[in-house]
Amino acid sequence: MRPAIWSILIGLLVGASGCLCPPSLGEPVEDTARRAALLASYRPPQVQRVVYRTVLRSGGREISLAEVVKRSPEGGFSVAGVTDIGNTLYAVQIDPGGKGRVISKSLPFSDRWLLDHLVKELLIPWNGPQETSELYRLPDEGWALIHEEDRLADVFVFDERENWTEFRLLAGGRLQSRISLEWDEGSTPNVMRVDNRDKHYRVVRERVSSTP
Amino acid sequence: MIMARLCRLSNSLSVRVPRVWPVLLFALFVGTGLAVGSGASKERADSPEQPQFLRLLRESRAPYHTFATRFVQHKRLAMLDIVLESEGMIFFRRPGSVRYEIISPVRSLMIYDGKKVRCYAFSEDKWNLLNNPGATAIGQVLRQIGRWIQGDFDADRKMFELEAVPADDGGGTIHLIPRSKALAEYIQRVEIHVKKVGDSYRVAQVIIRESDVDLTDMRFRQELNNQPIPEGTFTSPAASEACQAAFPPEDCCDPNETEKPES
Repeated sequence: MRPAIWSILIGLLVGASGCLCPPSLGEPVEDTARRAALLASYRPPQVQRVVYRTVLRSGGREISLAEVVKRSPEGGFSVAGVTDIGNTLYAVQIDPGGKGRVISKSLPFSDRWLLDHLVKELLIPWNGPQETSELYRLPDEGWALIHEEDRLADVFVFDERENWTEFRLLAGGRLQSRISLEWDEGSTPNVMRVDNRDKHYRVVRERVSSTP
Repeated sequence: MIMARLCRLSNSLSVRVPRVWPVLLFALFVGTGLAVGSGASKERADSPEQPQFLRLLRESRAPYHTFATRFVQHKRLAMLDIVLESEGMIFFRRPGSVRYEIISPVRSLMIYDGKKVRCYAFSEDKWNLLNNPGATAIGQVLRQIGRWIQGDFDADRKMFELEAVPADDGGGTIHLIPRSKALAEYIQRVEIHVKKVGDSYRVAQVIIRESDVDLTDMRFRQELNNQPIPEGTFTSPAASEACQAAFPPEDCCDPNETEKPES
């Protein structure tokens, strides 16, 4: 097993159990059919616009807001966070290539914090597993598709019924953030719970509406 | 000046309350109870030579110790080319108790009982009390709201230019224009549209222009003056249903018909 994968697996286990346990995932699983089925089970959201009710908890402080994601015909995104009384907390544009630009913000966080964490996590449902992802068996049953690049690992966790239930981002083998997904009949998650251990915040997002 | 102090306080918070908060709250709460004389083409309402504007406002609000109103809010975000709509209600009781609640599409609540402000979000099927970093600032704003509703703008004259622009129908518009560049970065202008109804005046609409293209448009309806306030309105999120029930069906009679202003 490649050393980098070891660190990812350690991170996975830490993420799963909260403690540093010996890795036991072993080698990537050579199950072409399973891997293809998991890749095929991912469906990009077929919606033009989604609104989430969001509660952000950071450092013992909490704020509530509505977040709006709008897909452009070219494949980019416009994303905004609006407070309950209607003023804009942040506005971001993501071009089709994935490059983000902060249009405005009145949060005390950097542009990078906004783009690389809060907004990136919000857009996770649109960013599914890559075709080159490798398949792993999880110790607590279920499967993971893992794609590693530049010491960053995207980990898509599936349950036994091949439902995508969680996303984890590992940096250098260390769990950076963890997003659990709850689904109903919609093509976007009904609930997303973010635990960002790197930046020490948690977010609960509940879908309010979606426009096909 | 309290508004400026609030802004500085907000800036120092770890999760900052946007600096437009005071302005938005200002517009919201002034918007529910403003009265203005008409007749001038465009008056500097904040100038020393126009004291009658403030006097009229104070006099018009003096009889009312409580009020409540429903509102519909449209937030236009040009970047997303969308309009977000929300509905809510506001309750106020002198000297400074306030309940501001968004009912849909997401429920949130801010209440001030005269001592402490509490912010709630209805999330995961229950009301959650938030440790809002802006609570202290919000509390100060809410205390000031009491003065605004009573027509006391003394503390705000340095913050805004106030202009009164009469309309042909007897109503008019009040323009609040930030004086400072810092505030103007967040808001260009607040427009308070006053409608004449019979012999009295009421605010029908407030528009907050953040930029040339982004704005928040609030329209008020069903104002209740000196009507009974449900128990727990200013202390508990559980009063939400009772507060909503305080408003009669919209096609029903005027709830203020039997209103007897106290002196």
